[in-house]
Amino acid sequence: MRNALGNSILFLQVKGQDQEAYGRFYDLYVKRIYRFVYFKVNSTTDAQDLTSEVFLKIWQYIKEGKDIKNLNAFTYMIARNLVIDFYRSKSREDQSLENTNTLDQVDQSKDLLKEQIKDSDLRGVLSGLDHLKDEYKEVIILKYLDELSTKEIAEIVGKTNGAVRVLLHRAIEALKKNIKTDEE
Amino acid sequence: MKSRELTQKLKDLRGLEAAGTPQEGWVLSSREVLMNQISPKADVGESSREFGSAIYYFQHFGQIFNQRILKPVAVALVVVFLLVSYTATVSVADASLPGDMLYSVKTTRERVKLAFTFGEENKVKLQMDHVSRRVDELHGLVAQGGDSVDQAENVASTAQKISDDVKLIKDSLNRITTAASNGGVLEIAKDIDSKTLAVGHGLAEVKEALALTVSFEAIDDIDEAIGDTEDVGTAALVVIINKFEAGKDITGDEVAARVAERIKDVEADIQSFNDEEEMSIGGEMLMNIEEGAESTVSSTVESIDVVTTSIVSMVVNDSDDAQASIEEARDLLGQKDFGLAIEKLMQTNDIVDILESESGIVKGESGEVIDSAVTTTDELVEEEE
Repeated sequence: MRNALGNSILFLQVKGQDQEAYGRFYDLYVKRIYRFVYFKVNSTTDAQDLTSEVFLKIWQYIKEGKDIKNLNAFTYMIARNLVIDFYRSKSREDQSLENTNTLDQVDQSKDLLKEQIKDSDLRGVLSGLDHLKDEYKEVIILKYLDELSTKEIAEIVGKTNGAVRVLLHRAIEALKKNIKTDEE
Repeated sequence: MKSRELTQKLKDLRGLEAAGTPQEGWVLSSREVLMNQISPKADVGESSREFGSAIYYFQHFGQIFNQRILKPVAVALVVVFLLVSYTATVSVADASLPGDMLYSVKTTRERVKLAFTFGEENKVKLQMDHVSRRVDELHGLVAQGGDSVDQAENVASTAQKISDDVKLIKDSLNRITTAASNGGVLEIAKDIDSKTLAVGHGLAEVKEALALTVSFEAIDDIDEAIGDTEDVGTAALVVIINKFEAGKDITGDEVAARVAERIKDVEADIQSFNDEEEMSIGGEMLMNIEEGAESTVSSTVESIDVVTTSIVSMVVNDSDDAQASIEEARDLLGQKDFGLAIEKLMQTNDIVDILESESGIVKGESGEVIDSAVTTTDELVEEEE
């Protein structure tokens, strides 16, 4: 309750263009947004660049006086859109340079990090997560890692509450299947 | 792995670098860069900071107040307003009369109520109540007075509605009677018998009150409604007698009382014809003729007599027949032969119907002849002068 009140006050301060409050807002959200982006781009460098861009962009929106009803959902929406833009521009670059090595490099760096996880179950879950469809991965992260409500997820991904529930159910089933396959 | 374990493992991923936890060094340097990017030019938040965070608490509680108190209160007020408006409209509509603006609301409510009433017996009871309401409305129209054309129109439409409804009630009664399980038919028949008597009396009162103010067409509609009401009432009485003869839950005294009421009703009809005959054919005509020039009317009186005498004699004969027939019905009732008594009563009703039409002809014809006589008399008086 106290946290909810604190967050609510913080959001109002941020909307009121309070820079100090925006710093606290960054502290509160940076890890979640980074993780959200990281699972989508699979690269530490790209995740860092995109996360920084997310916070700068939100501040610009606030400065422009745009009406932001739910800052929490809005932050994820900005992150999501920046990742989409990132893949669009990356696709164009790859086509022009015929550079196909980037993804391989990314996978290798992530594999190294995975090998450091001692808990084999956790390693299995992470591998299963990596092999999921992007939309399944997205709702699982939002729901179980970031603990957002179905309503908030629906707002972020632009679907109805019912569609999100169905998506979550399918995502968990697909993840279980991936884990089982990896174990075998 | 079970779903619960899986969701727990997913939560455990938080904090692992491989699961997207950023390096602390980057988090801090990125914050510093961000703060540098946003702070130099920013000055809009200054005024807010002068008040500390109190202003945000105020805003926060303002939002809570709006969402949790103002909105529910507004919704509750709207609901209360709608309920009050609905109740007011319904009570005004219930008191409305045919021709009033809200009358359609009243009849629509009745139709809706009927549609949501289940079981043929319950529907018949409700329809009978609606017929009684129509009679009350006719009394209301009589009391209201006003423009005679509008009044006649409203009276006619209400009387037609009564006719339509009682015909539907008769159909329903037939269906209930022929149905395999007709346990409740006796109660329904009793209800119809009692209520149709009251409706018939009410209609007769309305007819008497309006006889001189509204058109013949409207009076005809009332007559038709009276006839249709008697018809369904008699049908209900037949059902009661059949049940009595089948040894069902009704005493002979009760049946006798009900048949006696019907006989009394028809006797009153016959008596009213006798009174009308004396007044309209004799008194009214003579009164009008006396208003003309006495010396010149003898030929006109003769012409009136020629036109009406034959019909008047028919009325008198039929009136005698009706009287004889109803007396027979009463005798049969005395002998507790309810079946034959009701049959005789129905025959008497048929004669009364004929009497009604003959009486109408006499009134119409004699009225026209009187008008003609008065005109002729006036012309003769002018010529003599």
